[in-house]
Amino acid sequence: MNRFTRPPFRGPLSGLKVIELGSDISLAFGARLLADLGAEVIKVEAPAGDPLRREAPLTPGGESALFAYLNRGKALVSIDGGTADGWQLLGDLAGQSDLVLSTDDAVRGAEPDWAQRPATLVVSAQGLSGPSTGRPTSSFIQQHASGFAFHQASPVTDPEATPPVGCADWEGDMAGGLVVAIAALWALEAAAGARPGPLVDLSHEDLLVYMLVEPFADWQAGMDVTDRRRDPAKGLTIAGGLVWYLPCADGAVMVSPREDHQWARWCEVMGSPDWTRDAELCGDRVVRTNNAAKLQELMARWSVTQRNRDVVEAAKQARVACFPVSTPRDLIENVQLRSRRFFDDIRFTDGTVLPMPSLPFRFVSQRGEELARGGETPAPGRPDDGRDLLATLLAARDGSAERSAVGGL
Amino acid sequence: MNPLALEGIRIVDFSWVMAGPMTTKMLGAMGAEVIKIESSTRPEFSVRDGMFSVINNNKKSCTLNITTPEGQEMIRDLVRSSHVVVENFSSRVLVKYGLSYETLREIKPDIIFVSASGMGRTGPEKDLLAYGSLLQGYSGRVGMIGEPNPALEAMGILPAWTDPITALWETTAILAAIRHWRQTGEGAYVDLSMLEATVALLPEALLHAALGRDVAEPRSTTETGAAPSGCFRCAGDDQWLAISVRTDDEWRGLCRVMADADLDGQPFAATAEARLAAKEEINARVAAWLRGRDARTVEAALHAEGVPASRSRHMAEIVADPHMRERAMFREIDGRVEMATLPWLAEDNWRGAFSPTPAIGQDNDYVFGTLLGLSAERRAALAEAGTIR
Repeated sequence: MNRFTRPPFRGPLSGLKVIELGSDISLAFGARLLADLGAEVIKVEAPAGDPLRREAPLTPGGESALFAYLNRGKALVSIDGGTADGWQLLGDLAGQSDLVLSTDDAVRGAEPDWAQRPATLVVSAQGLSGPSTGRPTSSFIQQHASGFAFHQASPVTDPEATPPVGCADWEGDMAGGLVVAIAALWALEAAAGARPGPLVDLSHEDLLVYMLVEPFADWQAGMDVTDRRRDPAKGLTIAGGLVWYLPCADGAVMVSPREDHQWARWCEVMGSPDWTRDAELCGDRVVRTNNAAKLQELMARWSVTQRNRDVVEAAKQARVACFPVSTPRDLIENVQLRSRRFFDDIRFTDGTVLPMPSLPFRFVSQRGEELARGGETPAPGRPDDGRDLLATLLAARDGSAERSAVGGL
Repeated sequence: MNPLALEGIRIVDFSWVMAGPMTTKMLGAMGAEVIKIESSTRPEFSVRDGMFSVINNNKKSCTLNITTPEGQEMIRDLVRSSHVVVENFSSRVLVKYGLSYETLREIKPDIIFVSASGMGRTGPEKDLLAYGSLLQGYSGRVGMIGEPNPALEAMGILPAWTDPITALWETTAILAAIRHWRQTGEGAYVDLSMLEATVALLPEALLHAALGRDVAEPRSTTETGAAPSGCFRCAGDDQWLAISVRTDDEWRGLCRVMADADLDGQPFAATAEARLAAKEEINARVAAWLRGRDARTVEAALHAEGVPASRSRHMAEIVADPHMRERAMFREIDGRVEMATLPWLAEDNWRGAFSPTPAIGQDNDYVFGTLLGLSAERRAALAEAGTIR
């Protein structure tokens, strides 16, 4: 590179400095998103290391793949914030940063007393204030406390046999990570450089409630949101149109031939069995809505004899909205995701290389520079890998007293 | 501190259904001026109750027929004085109406153009018709929630997930792009895939699959590494209690609450490992013990003993919850209870600006008169011709 060559595009948040304190999936994921967008993120771990380093799955060499997903692209340092020196050092780091993202534990449950701290976002289970703060909880429990689980199992034919059900995977916590990123970017702009900066109180429970737009709209409209039993008179219409789940010889598909012209083409995909000519059964959209359950049964008789990929391909040719119910393995091999370079390859110290989702969007600057996707990057290392960084920071001050607070130095 | 940090940013919003409207609602709550482009002839805009009104506040509404050359020219004029365009058209419509990024950047080079589509704007499946409900299946999450059934019950299809999640990703991308614009003066193009937005939140399944392993248990029904853990039926109508015990302290607390069940006298009680191995049996014992008990009483007892637990609550209870009220998650505005416009709490209980959902076309005079400078006569003629409608 010479002085006429522009540096590579590191992302829209290039130049932003962020400190992350404490162990929490939402917090770590939110901070990682800022790093993906170009921010310089320093993750501070307690000397024992982030407990998420032990979360499954582990590579053959014993490194947590989940920890890597949450923390790649960050600088890692180890400081004991429980000591007076460590606390002061965290304050110094905060003073050199544009944002502090923290758990409530890591800042001792209150606004930190660092005079030069920037905008600070504190993540906790139920928030920093309110009569129910501090209730014992967990990621799973939060989904029930927030109403997400109850409404995800509503309406159902037999509530007695259908318990409330939470999100898939780590979704609830991951959604929290998105709100961490959004709140952080808002706080950064709102603070406009003020020191000490504003404190933002982010509760896991609040953000799950925020996702429940439909149940809230129903409540606001005076509907009974306490009764999960399905009203048989309302049929099986889902989300504004007919959607059917059809088991196949291998796996399943979901299909939605809503309009008359789509239905006609879908019938051809199924080989136009006799029942498709029965106008009283499937004559128009209203009739099909009323007979949705019967049609599901008839279509399933055909679909269980088919391979799901054949059904999807035939539907695609017929321009009918139809997709397989993917397995995780299907997703890793998915041609659309591969074509868009959605997966980055993360290399671990034991040589394992795992595909991991990148940001779910292409970001192209006005100059045509695109944020990189689909490359290979190293997994995050040990907690003391950032010792050089810390040494540099300490060198700028009389750091002898603080060294006892710093792991590995 | 200025909580309305996006003041001065104007957003032209073509989006409909859920993801785009939820995005621009958030940005409006931070002070952006959101111009929602609607059409009174289309049912997705003319029916404004229910969910529509929850996700379309903080906006100005104008009505325009964008299929006409005059309507398209007015859009281009509007884009000249705006900073962000949000759309979720099909690829075909974008080009046909001259509203693609390539066209609009000629008018406004530093525009931030954000496109949300099912599959993204590139790749072999970019033009496939994709509804949010089908993406729940394609993204794999349907296979991880509940049991498959023809009525699609308790499988994660409802309430909507892909759309609200896409809105959070979209808001993140726009805020980053606005910061970039404020620092460099440069605009950006964002091509967001709803499929990718959903898949990116499923790391446990993907990482296990990449290592050739299966996920031990579905997190939708239990917490991995906790025993007991699940959602248990209690006495009364549709009353359920979720419990998750991870540590020795929590286990001892559970044993004290369930003293008459003699949990700590059982062979599995000694270690966390033994309890995890006997998870099914412990869950069965807890289920039997809770079946005739009052959920609220047991919940209070478990909390007092430090055991993670919660009744599976519904929206009516959450709206009435003193904790939620004190935290301003819900508040009364003009005699109506509204949900917070932003899911975090700042000083002075600030939860985002709130203005009610506009009536359709409510801001036509402001948009076409004040912003575009069209005279009242010209606006009347455009309305007569069906361009403003």
